[in-house]
Amino acid sequence: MKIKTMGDLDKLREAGLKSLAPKQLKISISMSTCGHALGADILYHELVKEKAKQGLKISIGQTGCSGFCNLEPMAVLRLHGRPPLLYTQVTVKKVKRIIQDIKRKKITKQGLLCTIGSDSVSGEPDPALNNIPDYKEVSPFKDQHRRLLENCGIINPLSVSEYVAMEGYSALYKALYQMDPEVVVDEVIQSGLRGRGGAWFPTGIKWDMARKAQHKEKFVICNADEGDPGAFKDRTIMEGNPFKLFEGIVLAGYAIGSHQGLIYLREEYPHTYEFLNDAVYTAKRYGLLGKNILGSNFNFTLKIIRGGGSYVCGEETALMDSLEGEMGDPRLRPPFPIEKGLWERPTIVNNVETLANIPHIIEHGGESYAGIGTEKAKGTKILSVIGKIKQPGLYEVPLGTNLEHVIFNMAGGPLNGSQIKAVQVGSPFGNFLSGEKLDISLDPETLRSMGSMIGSGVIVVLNQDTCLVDILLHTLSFFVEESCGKCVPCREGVFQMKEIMTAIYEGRSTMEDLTSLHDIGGMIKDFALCALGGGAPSLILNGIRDFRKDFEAHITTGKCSWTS
Amino acid sequence: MNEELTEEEKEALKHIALKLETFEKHRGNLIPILQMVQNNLAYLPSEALKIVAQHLGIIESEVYGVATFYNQFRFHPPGKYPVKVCLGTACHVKAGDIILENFERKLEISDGETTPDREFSIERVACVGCCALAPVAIIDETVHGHMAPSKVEGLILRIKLQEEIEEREKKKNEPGQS
Repeated sequence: MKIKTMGDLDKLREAGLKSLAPKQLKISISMSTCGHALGADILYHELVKEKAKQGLKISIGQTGCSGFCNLEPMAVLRLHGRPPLLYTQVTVKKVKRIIQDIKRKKITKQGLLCTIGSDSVSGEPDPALNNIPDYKEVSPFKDQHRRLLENCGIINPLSVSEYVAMEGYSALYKALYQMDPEVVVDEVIQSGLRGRGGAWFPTGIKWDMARKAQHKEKFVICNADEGDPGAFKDRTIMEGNPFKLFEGIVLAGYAIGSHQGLIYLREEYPHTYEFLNDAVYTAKRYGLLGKNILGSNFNFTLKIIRGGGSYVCGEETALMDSLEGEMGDPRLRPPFPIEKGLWERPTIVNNVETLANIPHIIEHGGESYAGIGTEKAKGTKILSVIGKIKQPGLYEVPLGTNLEHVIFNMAGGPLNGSQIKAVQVGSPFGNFLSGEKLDISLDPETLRSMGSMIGSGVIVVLNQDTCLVDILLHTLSFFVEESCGKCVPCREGVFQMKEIMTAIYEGRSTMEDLTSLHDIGGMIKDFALCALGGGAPSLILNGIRDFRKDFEAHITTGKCSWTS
Repeated sequence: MNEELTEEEKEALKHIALKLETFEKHRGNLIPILQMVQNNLAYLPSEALKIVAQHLGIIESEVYGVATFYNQFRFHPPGKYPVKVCLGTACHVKAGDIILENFERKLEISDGETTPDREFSIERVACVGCCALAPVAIIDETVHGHMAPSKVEGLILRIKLQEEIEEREKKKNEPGQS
C-alpha cells in the first residue's frame, strides 16, 4: 500500500499503535548483529517451535539493538493493558518460564529489567508491577536523553506502521506539503546541528551551499562507514530504526534539490547490509522512497553501497573516490564536495547520526531542537563507552554532559572497582586524558581546548593495569595499516613513529627516541594531506607528555611499570 | 596469486563471466563487481581480475591496484571457515591478541594464512562494531562475543564434529553405498 494522504498516514498510525499494544501476548526478540552473536536467532526459532507445539496464543516479533550488547538477547513482552516489559539476557529456558508464569497470571521477575513507558498506560497502577522501575529510572537507561535511540530496541525496525505510530514520517509529510526547501534548510541552520561524524561542521550551512549550487543532478551521501574502532552507534540506528534514517535522508534530498541518495555502508557489517536492503524494499512499497513520495511531486531513490573495508574511506572525499571505483585517496580541497563531489556533481556527505537528527528538527522546529546542549553544540550525542567498564554500551546524552557522570553514574564505573588510569574521548584520534581530569563537559569546544576532540563519541576507559605505551602502539599500528599511502608524511612518517614506538615497547631504545618522535610528529602534523595522517602524531606526543612514567619504565626496564 | 584453479573454480569463473554482462560498463561498478566475484569464488584469482578488466575496458594493473587497496579483497583462497579475530580498541584492551594467538596455535597457521586442507583461515579485523561483547571473533559470519582462550578449542572442535556428522548423514542418504 502506498501512503498518499494524511488519512493514509493516520490509518497506518492506528495499525502501528495496535501492533505496539496488542490484545494478545506478544514477545519481541532483539535481532541485531549483537543479538545474533548471543543466540537471538536460536531463541526466536525455539519460540516459534514452542508456539506451534503448545498451540500458544501469542505473537512473536522482533526489535533492534538498544545499545547494550552485553545484555542481549533482550525481549520485550507486551501484555494487554500493561506497559511493555523489558527482559535482558533471555534464554530459551527463561522464555518458557515467562510464558508459563503468564498462564498462571504471574509476572516473572527474573531477568526483568524495567517497564517501558509505564506512564503511557492509563488507569490505576498495576499492583503486579510494584517495585519494577520504569526504564527512565534504571541503569543503563537512567539519565539518558534518547532522541535518536528512543525507538531502538522497542519497535520492530522493519515495521513502517510502528515507526509511524512513534511520530515517524510526520516530519517528511510536513516538509513536502507545507515547507519550501529553503525553509527546511533554515530550520536546520536554526537548530545549530553540527556533523556527528567527527568534524562537527554546521549541517545547515553545508546544505545551504549545496542547495544554491546550480546543477540538475545532485547527490546525498549518507556516510555509514563507521570505521572508528569502538563505534557502533550508526549500526544501532540502522538496525534499530532504519526508517528514521531514511526519513532524514529524503528530507536532505528535498532540502538541497537532490533525487538520489546513497548509503555508503561499512564492509564489516554484512548483517546490516541485508537488513537495510529489506528496509529499502519496504519503504518503496509504502511509497516512502521512489516516485511521488507520500503522494507529493517529489521523487527520491536510495541505494545501499557496500564499502571496501578501508578506514580512510570514512573521509568524505576518499569515500567518493571509492564510490567512483577508485582507490580511496583523499582529494585536495577546494573544490569542496558541495560544488564538485561525486562524479563532479554537487554532493553533501552526512553521517548516519547527523541525518537521524533531521526528522526531530523538522517536526519540532530548529529552535526547540536547540533547547538542549551547550551554547555552541546543540542536541544530543550518542557516546559509545567501552573498555574496562562495568556497563559498556551506547549512552545518548545532551551535549555538555559531564564525563565523570557518564562514566561513574551511568556506565557503572571501572570494572571490579579498579581505578581509572586514562580515558580516551573521540577514539582513535582523541587524547588519552588522565584519570584525574574527568570532571569536564562533553562538547567539542571543551575537548578541543584540552587539545583533544569528541570525534564520533567513542569513549575508551582504561584502568590501572593497562599500559599506555601498549595502547598507543596499538592505535599507531592501526593508522599505519589504514594509511592510504598518497602523501609521504603519513605513509613514511607514521610508519617511522611506529618503528620507534615498537622499540620503546620492547625496551630497545633510549630517551633520545622521545625527541625523535617529537620531531617526526611535528612534521607530519604540518604536512599530512588529511585528518587521518595529521591526527596520529598528536595522540602520541600528548601521550608522552601525560604518561611519561609509562614510557620511561619501558625505556629503562623494557616492561610496564605495573608488572614489576 | 599463482595457485592453480580447481575444477570447481573454473566452473564458477564461467558463471562469473555471464554475470558480468549484467553490470553496466561503468567505472563506478568496479568495486561492486569485485565484491560479486569474491562472493562467488571467496577470493580474487588473477584470471578473474583479467576478465573484470576486459569487461570495464581498463588495464589489469588498475583493477589490481584498486583491489589491493581495500582490506576486504583476498588474493589467496580462504578456508571454508574463515576465522576473523577483532583487534579493535575494545577487543585489544580485553586481550584480543591472546585470542588471535590461540587460534594461530590451535590451527597451526599464522594470521593471513589458510590451513593446508583449506578448512580454516585466520585474519585480523579492525572492529566489527560489537564492542560491548569484547573480545570478539567471527567464524564464518557468526559473531562469537565474550571470547576466552579456553573457548577457542571448543569452537574449532564443534565445527569439525559438525562436518563429520554431515559427512556421515550424506553417506547414509546416498543409495547404493553400504
